[in-house]
Amino acid sequence: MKHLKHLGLLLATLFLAWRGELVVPGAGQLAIYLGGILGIFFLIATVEVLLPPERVAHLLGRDTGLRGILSALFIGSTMVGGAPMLLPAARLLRKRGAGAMNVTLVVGGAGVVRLSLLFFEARSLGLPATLLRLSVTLGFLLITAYLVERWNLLNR
Amino acid sequence: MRKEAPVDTLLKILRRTAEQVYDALVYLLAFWILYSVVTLHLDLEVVRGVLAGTTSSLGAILTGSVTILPAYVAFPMVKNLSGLGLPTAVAAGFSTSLMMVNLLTLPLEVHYLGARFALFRNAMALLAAFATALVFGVFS
Repeated sequence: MKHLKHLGLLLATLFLAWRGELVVPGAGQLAIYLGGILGIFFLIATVEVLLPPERVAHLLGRDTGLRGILSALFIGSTMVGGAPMLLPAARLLRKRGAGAMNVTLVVGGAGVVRLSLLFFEARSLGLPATLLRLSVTLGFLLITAYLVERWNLLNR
Repeated sequence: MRKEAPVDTLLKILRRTAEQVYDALVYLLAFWILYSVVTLHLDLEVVRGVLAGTTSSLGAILTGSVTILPAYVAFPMVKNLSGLGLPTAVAAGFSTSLMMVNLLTLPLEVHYLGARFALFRNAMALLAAFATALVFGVFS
């Protein structure tokens, strides 16, 4: 049933693109995009097969406290690529036993403490503005993560 | 435990890759088409025009949440516009919502991490953008 749904959605998308109802760039760009997606999923599958679950539980498990928070923020800040890279990685961490709070910190941290972001912001807007913005957004991110854990918003 | 041959591991990895790509392909294609449509109508010049013409943080935050721009494009543009007289609160709200809120990847996020989580995280990120705009408006 699920397969049928996927096939139907895919065919509908391709049909709309073919009819020109949806504006899509050329096939070359689609090939580049799909190639990148394949590479991303190959990396994620490699990590999934080779990464021992105990390692994840030790670093990012539910009751790791400050160690979990710091490692989650570190992973978020060194994350490369956009949402197609970030979200499968976050689900992988969750399935391997990372706590809801730490998964939230990884996903949100990629938009808050990502190093490339901070670097460009400090270079063009100045360090004081960057630190002021960072303190506000990091506070909100920590509150979000706490509430996600507390209200159990992230299922396994 | 018996140690696996490397070939078996590689086969397992390839099988997992195929499964995951199959699982997400529809959502990824949908995201790609959405992204193409939005960037076609909302390219850099339009965003610049919207930001240069607005004095309200609300418009800037909404623009930031539907736009996807890499950091090395967005921040120089914000600096440029600040030099032209864009209020600091508007610039801060735009850059925060640009990085934290992402309406285009919301379907993908719902697929991977669940609807409750995705909606809650994006709502909190919107609140954070408003708070940043407020803080920058007060302190500058």
